Amino acid sequence: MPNFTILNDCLELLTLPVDNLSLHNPEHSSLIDSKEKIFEFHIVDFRRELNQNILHASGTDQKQDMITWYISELMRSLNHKPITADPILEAARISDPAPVEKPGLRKKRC
Amino acid sequence: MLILDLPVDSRNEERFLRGCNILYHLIFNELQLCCMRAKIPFLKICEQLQYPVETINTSISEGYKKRKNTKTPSTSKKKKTRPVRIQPSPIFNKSKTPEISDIFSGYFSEEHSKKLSDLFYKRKNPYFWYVYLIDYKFILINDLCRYIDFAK
Repeated sequence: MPNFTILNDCLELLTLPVDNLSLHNPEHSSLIDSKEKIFEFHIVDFRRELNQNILHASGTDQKQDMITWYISELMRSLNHKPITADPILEAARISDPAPVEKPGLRKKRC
Repeated sequence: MLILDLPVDSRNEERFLRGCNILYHLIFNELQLCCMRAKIPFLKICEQLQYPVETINTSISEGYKKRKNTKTPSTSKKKKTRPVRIQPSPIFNKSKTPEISDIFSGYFSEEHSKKLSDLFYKRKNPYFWYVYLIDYKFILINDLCRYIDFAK
């Protein structure tokens, strides 16, 4: 039997109104933290659940249906939160600043 | 229903929305990786569902599609071409196995390269790095993949 507990948790978070945000809730506070924490807190379990569900599905058609269902469920959350393109790139830029240029390697301007 | 038990200021609100955004995109990355492993056409499904793919980073699926297309054997006879040799990065010219921190120090500051090398020893999966270090181009990924081969 497929299990969608983690997906449902994630969907609940994605559709949660900001007014109901509780910083005592570890799931909510993890979203306020870094992307590494988000990954460790949510995605590791999500990956496990997804892989198990895909493994249980027999045949390519069933697997495809499963992914279709996942995407359609995620589509619902699009109306709740403003999703911007490529936030991972943006987030990577914020948390990992550009490498510091070594003074010895700097080109001299004429 | 959750009850608001702490005052949520605008900064936290902004960070929460950003976190939701990251979660959303990480989920999609996972779905794309899963589709790649199970050989499911992710982009085709999105097209069928009329999903706005421009809102997500589909480079994993596009890269896989491209790779798949180039691997398909054609019926016509292929011309014999010399295989292209990829020049290894200078650190791999050393006779001994390079240190992982050497790779990172070429791209990041000392503090960040230490953190990343710690993370690297925890996760050697290249896809993990693809997702996380996508901003630092493929050079780093190539170096890391080569390192994994080198250290085997």
